[in-house]
Formats: sequence, structure tokens, C-alpha cells
Amino acid sequence: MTLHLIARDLRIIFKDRGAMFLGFAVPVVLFTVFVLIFGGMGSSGDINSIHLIVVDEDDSPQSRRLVSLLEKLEPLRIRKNKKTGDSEEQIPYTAATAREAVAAGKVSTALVIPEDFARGLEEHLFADYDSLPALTILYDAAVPIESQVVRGLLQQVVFMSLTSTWAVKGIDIMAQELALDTDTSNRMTSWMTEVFEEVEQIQEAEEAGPDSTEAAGGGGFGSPIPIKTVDVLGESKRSPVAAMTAAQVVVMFLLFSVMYSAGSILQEQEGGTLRRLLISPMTDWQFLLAKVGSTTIFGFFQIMIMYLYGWIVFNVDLFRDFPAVVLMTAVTAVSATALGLLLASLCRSMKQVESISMLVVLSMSAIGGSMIPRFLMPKWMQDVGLLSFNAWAIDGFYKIFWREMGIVEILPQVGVLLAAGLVFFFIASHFFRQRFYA
Amino acid sequence: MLEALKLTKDFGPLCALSEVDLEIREGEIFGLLGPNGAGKTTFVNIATTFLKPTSGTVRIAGLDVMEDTARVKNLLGVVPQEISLYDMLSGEENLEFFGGLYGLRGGRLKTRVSEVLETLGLAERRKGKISNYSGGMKRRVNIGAGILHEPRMILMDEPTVGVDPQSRHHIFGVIENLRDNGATILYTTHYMEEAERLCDRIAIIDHGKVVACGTKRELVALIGEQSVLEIGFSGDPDPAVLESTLPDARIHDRRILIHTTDPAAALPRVVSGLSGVGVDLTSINVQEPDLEAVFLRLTGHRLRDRGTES
Ligand SMILES: Nc1ncnc2c1ncn2[C@@H]1O[C@H](COP(=O)(O)OP(=O)(O)O)[C@@H](O)[C@H]1O
Ligand SMILES: [Mg+2]
Repeated sequence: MTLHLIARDLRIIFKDRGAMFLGFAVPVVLFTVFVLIFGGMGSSGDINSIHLIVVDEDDSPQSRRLVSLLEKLEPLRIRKNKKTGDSEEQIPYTAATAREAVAAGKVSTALVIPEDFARGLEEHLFADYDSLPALTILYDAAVPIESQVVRGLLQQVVFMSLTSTWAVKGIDIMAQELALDTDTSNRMTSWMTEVFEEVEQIQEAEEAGPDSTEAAGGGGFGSPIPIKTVDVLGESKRSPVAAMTAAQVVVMFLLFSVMYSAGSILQEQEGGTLRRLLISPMTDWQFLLAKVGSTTIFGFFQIMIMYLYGWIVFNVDLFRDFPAVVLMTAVTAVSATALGLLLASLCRSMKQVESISMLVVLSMSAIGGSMIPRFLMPKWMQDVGLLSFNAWAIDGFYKIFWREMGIVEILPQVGVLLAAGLVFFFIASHFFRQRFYA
Repeated sequence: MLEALKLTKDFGPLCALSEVDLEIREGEIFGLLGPNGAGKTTFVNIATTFLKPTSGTVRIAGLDVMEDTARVKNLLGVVPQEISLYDMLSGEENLEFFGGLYGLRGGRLKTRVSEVLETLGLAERRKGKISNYSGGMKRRVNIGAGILHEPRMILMDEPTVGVDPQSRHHIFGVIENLRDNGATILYTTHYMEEAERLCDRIAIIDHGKVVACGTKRELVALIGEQSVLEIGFSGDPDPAVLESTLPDARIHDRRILIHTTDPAAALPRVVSGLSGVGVDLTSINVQEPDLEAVFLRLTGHRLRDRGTES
């Protein structure tokens, strides 16, 4: 009986051009647009503060100088030490722990200054670019704007910190070439140093200014020393942005479709077919479970088709851990369905469902990260976002597609969504049974 | 087959059904005749478990509708007054779905759907979407969805509203056929002609009360098989003078009603009597002894007086 009802529901949904268009075509288009916008975006947005882990393996005057310059930059918050849980003890980050921190999403970017930084500079500057010590930036491409800003800033700072060294070294070489006497070359050197120190002061003042972020991002000059960037998570991913955007967009549209689909109970009431159902031998639970079944199946397809599209067009890594994807998709769909039923059970008409669900879905999407990723929001907003359906669903998909985690790691999201779904379903069924079977 | 005992339904202050007693016998077509708002749909809703009565009981095939709900549901076929179908689906798909609700599956379901489509003259348009059907076709599918599973008791709530006379005639044939195959049918209508033409027995209902029940013949006998002579007039005659001239007449605003077994003999007497008191006749109408006359006599108003014809 339940299957019979589900089959009928699906038949109707798949014949409904409007539902198909909203359910499949619109999200795919929006997804594509988002990916193109965010994927191609260098810098923009107002970012209040960016946390940057700095690992100074060298601990030389030059490296410390570089770090102190970074610390002066307005948008950056430099972290050198790892906070440990219970004690006040602070352990400096190492390249490995910094990498872990980025991978875990604690910060978006980390800078590693290699051990032989100062010595390498001394030996190879102007002589052999390839042998120069490379700064390594570990970043999370899931946060493309942030990491690009940091990289831009770093380039500038490195350039600044090296200009004097660079100039002094240049004079040295020139003196040798021209066979100048030591006295002359020393005087030139000290003069140059003075000039550059002055330039530095000016630059620092500018850096601290309000336009720093933009200047950094837009700074087009190359780095005097090599900067090696390592996309900690996305090295293997060809389109990191797509994987994230897909989650954001699909969850929002899933909510729209399930609200519509669950609201069809009210449509049936208005169209009179509900009466035929209610006086037929079908029971109330069969009826409600069938609604959950058909809506969940529709939602499942909706999410899957989005990711399939992402996989084909943007190389989203759909099959790395497919069982986890299936689990997350199913749980997201069923829980969203329960939420849709709850909303429908509180409404009097399909018109009401349409307007109220619009409001509910849009606000949940806004705070829950379907429009702007939550990690770009202030901390308190991120916490508030956890009240939304979107946040949990998106987090689950992030974990799979972005953090390359598996079923075990998404269990918190799965659990919360399932538990919420169960609660929603029982409240909704209570209201519906009261309304239709009283 | 169906028994209602002191069935009462109040909607707040409005009493939609008031202590209704009815007995529908197995194998008959039973008509529930009454104007709009009489309480017909309310009765069907209670009998089909859709509404709970305020008091009283309905038993179908010996089962209490309120208590044995699940078993009762399996016995019933219902044709709701409003067309209740899925617009997005075809006629065939609708029938398949509703048949499936009553447990029909596979080949049996296919056969029944084809039979019903054939019977209702819809076989050609079976694949078309309901939303593209004419009103009459929708009505026929609406009926089909209620009879597909060959229920023992069929409740039809004004199933032919808005159907053209030819299709209506065809549908009557279908309903009679159902009865001849053993089904019991409750048929509600506000068309006297329908009840007369189709129903074995009829209950007349008005304002939630059953005012009379029986075969057409029994009902007409209630008013002594009298015809009603209805005469319209103009002018302003003295009522007292009119009354003395025609002592057997009832006068309703500019209409004179005379109940008589022989209208042909009564007419000349009335005409000459009226011309004597200076009244101009505007119309003469003889109401044969039919249900309309019964209704008029029992309730004081016509079937169509109130409500709008749909
Ligand atoms: N759900 C309801 N709430 C309030 N009044 C109702 C309801 N259903 C019917 N009524 C009233 O009960 C009376 C009988 O209605 P109904 O049974 O539909 O009449 P019929 O089917 O004979 O036209 C009408 O006056 C109608 O307005
Ligand atoms: Mg009615």
C-alpha cells in the first residue's frame, strides 16, 4: 500500500514540469554560476581578520623580521603556538602540525619559513634563484578568498623584508665587479640600508591602512624569493570550489522542493483527492510514511543529480567515498522531508506553504551557509547558523567532499539530522492525524 | 445494508442533520432527495467515515461505521460530490491508483480499469490527462474511481451534476447495472427527475430532517395523488373575497394553489370564479402528482427554491 502511494506521488512529481524545473534545472544553473563566480574570484569581500599560522623553522634575524612584519599587518592574526586543551602550556607549531590545523579547517592558511632561510638567502640571492630557500604556504582552497588574500600579503611582506638585504647584497656584488675599495663600498652599503629602512617605514604605514587587503590582493609584482603554495586538501581535487558550492546550493534547493512536495498534502486536501484517500482502507501511517518516502526519493535524486553534474562538469570527486555520499544524501533528504512535513502540518493551505516555506528556507539558507559560506561569518553567526538545517547538511557534505572524511566523521551530522528529522516527523504526524482523522 | 439511527450532526449552532433514521435495503438504489444545504453530503460523509456524527449511529452490513472503521472502508465505494482526481494523471492512471488503494493489483487491476473505462465510454481517451477532459468526462472518471473495486455498498453524492442529458442517461444505465449485479447504492440528488427515474426508494430530506421515505408511488400517495393547479394572477383582489370564491385554494404571493385529483374539471370553475372578482390570470400550470408536488406539499417550498443550481 505504502509503495503504491509512493509510486503515485513520484509519478505526479515527475510529470510536474514546474517541480522538475525548480528541482533540477534551476539548482544546476545556479550551481554553475556560483562556481564560475567564486572559482574565478581573486580577492574581494570584507574580511575582518584572518588567522595565519606561522612556523619559523629558521628562527634567524631575517625570519623573525619577516614574522614581525606580518604581525604588523592589520587583517592578519598570527598564531605561532598551538593551544593545548587543559594546560596553559603553549607548543610551537611545526610544519606537520600546521598542516594538520589547515586540514582540520582551524585556519585557512599557514606559512612555513624553512630552516635554512637566512643562510640560503645569503648564499643564493641574485646568484641562483632556483636554489633560494622557498617559503611554503599551506592553504585550504575551500576558503579561496582568504587564502588568496594571505598569499598576496605575504608576497608584499617578503618583498619588503628583503629589499634592504637585497640592496646591500647588490652593492656588494657591484663593488666586487667594479673593484671598489672597502671603504667606499661600506659607505654605500650603510647609505642604502638607511634609505631602505626609511622606505620600509613608509610602506609599513601604508600596509596598516584600510586598503591593505585590497592592495595585497591586487599586488601584481612577483616575489623576490620563491613562494611555494600547497593546497593542503585540494592537491588532488581539480575543482575544490565546485564541491563546496554544490553542497551550498543543493541543500537550499532541496529544502524548496521538499516543502513543495510535503505541501502537496494540502494540495490534495484542496483538490479533494485527500478525502478519497482518507475514506479508503489506507491507514494514516501508511499515508504519512508514503509522503516521506516519495519526497525523500525525490530529494535523494535531486542531490545526486547535482553531484553527478558536478562530477561530470567540475570534477567533483563523487566516488572517493561513495557510501558516505549516499548515506549523507539519504539522511539529508529524509530529514529535510520531515521538516517539510512539519511546516505543511502547520499551514492551512498550499498558498501558505509556498509563502512560509519561502521565508523559512531563505532565512535558514542565509544563516546556514547556503549563500555565504559559514566560515566567512563572525563566530557568533556561525553558532547561530547551527540552528539551521542547512548548516548541518552542508557541514556533512563539506566533510566528505572537502575534508575527504568518511562515514565515521560525518556521524555527528548524520545523527543530528536524523534525530531532528524524527522529532519533526512525529510532531508533523501528530498535527496531521489530529486534523484529518479526528 | 445501511442503517442510520437518530443520526445528528451539528456544525456549531447549525444543525446539518437532525435525528435522521434511514434504512437502505440490500440491492436497491436508494435516493436521498433534497435541495442544496439539506444535509445530503453530511450524511454521506458520516456514512463513509469521513466525518464523526454528533450523536446517533450508522451501521453498514451490520458493522458500526464508527467502531469497525477499517472493515467498513473495505466494503464501500464512494463517489464524492466534488470531482476528486489527480489532474496531472490520465484517466487510466487515476483509476489504477484508486483501484490499488482497495487492494487491486496486477492483471486484475488492469482488467477492471479497462472494463470500467469501457462501461463509462472513456476507453478512447484513457491516456489523456484529466486536466484536458471535459466536465462530463471528469464526472465519469470520478464515478469510475468509486466503483472499480466492485464494492458492495456504493455511495454516490450528486454524481451527475453538470453532465449532459445523454451521458446522464448512460450513467443511469451503468448504475442500474451495478444494482443488478448485487450492489446497494445510495444516490443523492436535488433533481426530482433523477430520483424518480432511477431510485427504487427515496427519502426526502430538508433542513437536516427526513420528511418522507418510500417508493415514488408511496410518496405520491402521501398527498392523495392530487395534482396541483397553480395559477398566477395580477391585480389586487380582496383576499377575503378570493377565499370565499375558491374555498379549497391556498394563496401564495400572486399564485393560487389548488390541490385536486381532477385538474381538468377544476380549471373552468376556477377561471370563471376568478373573472367574477375581477382578477386577470397571467399563467396556468398543472403540477402532476410527482415528487416535486410531494416536496411542495410537505415543506411548503419548491426543491429549487433555495440554493443555486450547480
Ligand atoms: N464543515 C462544515 N462546517 C460548517 N457547516 C457545514 C459544514 N459542512 C456542511 N455544512 C452546512 O451543513 C448544511 C448541510 O450541508 P450539506 O450536507 O453539504 O448539504 P447538501 O449536500 O445537501 O447540499 C449546510 O447548511 C452547510 O452549510
Ligand atoms: Mg452536497
